[in-house]
Amino acid sequence: MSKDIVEELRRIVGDEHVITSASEKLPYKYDASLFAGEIPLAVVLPGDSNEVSEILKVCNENRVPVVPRGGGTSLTGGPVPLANGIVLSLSRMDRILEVNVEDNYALVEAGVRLGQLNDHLKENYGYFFPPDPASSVAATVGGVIANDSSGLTGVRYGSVKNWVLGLEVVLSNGQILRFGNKTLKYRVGYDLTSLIVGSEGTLGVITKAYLKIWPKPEKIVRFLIYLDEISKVGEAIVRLKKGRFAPISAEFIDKSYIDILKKIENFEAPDSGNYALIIDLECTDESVNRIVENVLNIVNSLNPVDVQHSDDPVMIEELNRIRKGAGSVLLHMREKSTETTITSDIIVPPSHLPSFLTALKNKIEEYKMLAPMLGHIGEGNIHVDIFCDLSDEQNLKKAMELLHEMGRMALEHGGSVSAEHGIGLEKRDLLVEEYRFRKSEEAVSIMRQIKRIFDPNNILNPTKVLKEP
Amino acid sequence: MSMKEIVSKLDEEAGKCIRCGFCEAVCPTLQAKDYSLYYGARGRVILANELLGLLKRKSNGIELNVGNAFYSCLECSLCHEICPADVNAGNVSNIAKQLIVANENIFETSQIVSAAKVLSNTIMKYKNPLGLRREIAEWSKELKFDQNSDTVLLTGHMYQIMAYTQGLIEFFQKTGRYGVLFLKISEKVPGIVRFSKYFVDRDLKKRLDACIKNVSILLKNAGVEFSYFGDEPYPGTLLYEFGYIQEFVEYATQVREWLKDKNIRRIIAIDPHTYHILGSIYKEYIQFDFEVVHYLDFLSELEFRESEDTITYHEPCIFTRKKEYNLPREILGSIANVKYPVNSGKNSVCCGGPVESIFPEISERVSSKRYGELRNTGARKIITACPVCFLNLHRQKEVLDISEFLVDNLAWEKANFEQGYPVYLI
Repeated sequence: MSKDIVEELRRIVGDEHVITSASEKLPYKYDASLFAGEIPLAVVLPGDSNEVSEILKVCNENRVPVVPRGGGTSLTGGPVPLANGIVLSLSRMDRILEVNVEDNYALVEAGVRLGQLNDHLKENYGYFFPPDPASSVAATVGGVIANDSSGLTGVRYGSVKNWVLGLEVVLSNGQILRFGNKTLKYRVGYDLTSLIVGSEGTLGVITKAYLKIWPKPEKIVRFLIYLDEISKVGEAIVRLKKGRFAPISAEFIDKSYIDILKKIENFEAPDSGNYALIIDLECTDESVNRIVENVLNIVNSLNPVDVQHSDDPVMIEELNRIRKGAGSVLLHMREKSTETTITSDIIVPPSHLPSFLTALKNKIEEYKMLAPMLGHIGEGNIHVDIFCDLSDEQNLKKAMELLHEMGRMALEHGGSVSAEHGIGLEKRDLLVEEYRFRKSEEAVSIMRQIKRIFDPNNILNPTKVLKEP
Repeated sequence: MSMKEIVSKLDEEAGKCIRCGFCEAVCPTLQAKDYSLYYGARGRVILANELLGLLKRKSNGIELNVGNAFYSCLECSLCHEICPADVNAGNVSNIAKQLIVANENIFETSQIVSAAKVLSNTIMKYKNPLGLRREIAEWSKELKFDQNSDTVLLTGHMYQIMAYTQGLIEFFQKTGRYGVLFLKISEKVPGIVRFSKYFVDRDLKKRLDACIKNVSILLKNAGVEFSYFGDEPYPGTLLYEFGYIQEFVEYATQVREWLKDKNIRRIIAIDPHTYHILGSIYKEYIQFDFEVVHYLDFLSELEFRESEDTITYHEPCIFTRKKEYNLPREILGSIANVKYPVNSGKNSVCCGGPVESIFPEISERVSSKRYGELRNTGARKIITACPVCFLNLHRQKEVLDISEFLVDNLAWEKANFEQGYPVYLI
């Protein structure tokens, strides 16, 4: 039977776009998380929406699981495959179909990488698509929509859902539907566009998107602030917000990160700086000096170890590169190759940061685990990278316990267990726990019902987000 | 190098990867193979780690067929530029090839590995990948050299070989399974490869030979004394690139002895591959105390006319990322208005040449994309500084080797001919 299905798939997309050899399928077992999937039945690479539709029809009729895949940069196991299913790679659908700056949109296929899109928008129009996950060089439009990613600019621009105007989605039965529109406003019934955003490939396959685009800021001034105490990191954000500053991005890294970046990336930082805050503010040639003076007044009230600022785009870009790669650089701290990190994705209201960060630091010390932290501090989103040894079951269990414990702490501070990485395989229990905490377990039942409406045969990325259909 | 050492090197390089996938965004072969991850940078590192896992578990027989994944890698190192974890998937491929070669009996081998073996055997026997000997020195007819000089011009055979590769590739593409048979016979009878000489593109040979002659003209005009020997050995680059490391070490030692016999102190390389292998790689494996320089190093005193052309320069991967050799940029910038393509400097994209002989389809797709980027600069001429890049991009008329462009713009008012060279007099 599986042979017949593969033949059908070949007929749809052509022999060269169906991968069946075990060796060639092997790299699809992984994404950027610690989860390893199974070798799939086949990997299929369609070239357009009609082919996606035909593929889904065949898979739906034969109850073959379909795992959509974009850039494979998920940190929660979203695109790792199942043994009896196919991987549906959207990589070949990588065209920027239309850019319209008068109407503030770009129409793109799902396989376009964010870096590719932003290079094109910047060079040709002076525009950009603002959500900026650290993986933007490799992450695809379809992937970031499916995950509702955000990243470094979340504090100013929010997540992807704020920038998706309309979607073309292929349902599990092969129907091609268009949700939303290309207009900047749209109020026609239930918001199905938003339902697809963040659905992690479980409700439909995103094939095209109308994305809202925006002019690039005229000028950015960056502050690099070194602090000695973790509570001051949170306090700095609170005080800047009270001072009516709205950063484009506000990031922080802790001492472990600072030290490893110094070693690997020649990052220069004072020895006594235990935490580094990286804050970008939009300004103009006329306003830059005033903004610098005002920010320095606020920051200096916290007795920082050091403060630097620059509006040099080259320096800003270089530091962005370092920050975006920090999660990978961290792995240089490993003592053996079986060690990896589990990354928390918790978020709390920024006003809770001073007390939450102190509590978080104490919790990590209590567990006696190496767990450096960084995050998009402006919106209260903290990533703690818990080192664990995949060859040591007890150690892995302890790391997962700490991950869950941190999730609970975030809930108690009015926050959430997941801000931007999604649920995937990693946080399915935490999802249920969060709704239970809020006395809203029925919400999970509603999600299951929605899943059944969109995908009655449970073929779309099964077992992700919700363990049971 | 022992099996244990190879495994340890591979583990050190591939073990750093956390599979973030940044490298996939820049890997030229991934796109050229319609995004099959097996042909991309992250896929190669994943496969290498899988191999290591199998070897550690001492699995009997490796069922993975990894030859095509690693042998299709351009080793252009663009992935390394973007990798936050400092992994070079090109190095991973190179070491993995060493592992495959050292374990022929347990790996499922592909036709590609057979082709690599044939080339390796030929190099060991004839000191040239195609068994060419007399043809290598034809460019030097009518020229005289300073044979007592301790500085030698080593062409590395690269410019010369390029005139034969296209014909050979077409032969293999047309003959299909007979090509496979040819490879099998060649494994046993290396001499058969010498038929390669009948696949020559005569016009191209004439032009490439002229490029080497140009180099000599430039050096002579810069006042450099150097020797040249028609029996110069090929430096063994492909042995290294195909993973034949034991053979490479043996071969490099022979090259060293040849140089010692000629009382050489300094080597002038004329292409990036030879410059890199002699200047950097040899020293990693054998005692090699010769000074290795590039011919462009000597041209600072020469005067060139300002060109009215707008040109673009396709930077060889070896120059930009492995050697950080930016002199061609400086020289060209002093002569002409140079427009660089969207991917330039350390982000320069490979021409596809390194895999042309074994994966011509991948090579052609990579090359076409790069050619498009170069064309989009609007420049009238594309300049290359590597015979492999030249071959892959030259299908279009406006591609010139840097030696051609420099000689064309040499500021001579009148020329004398000495030892067969035009010598400039201002």
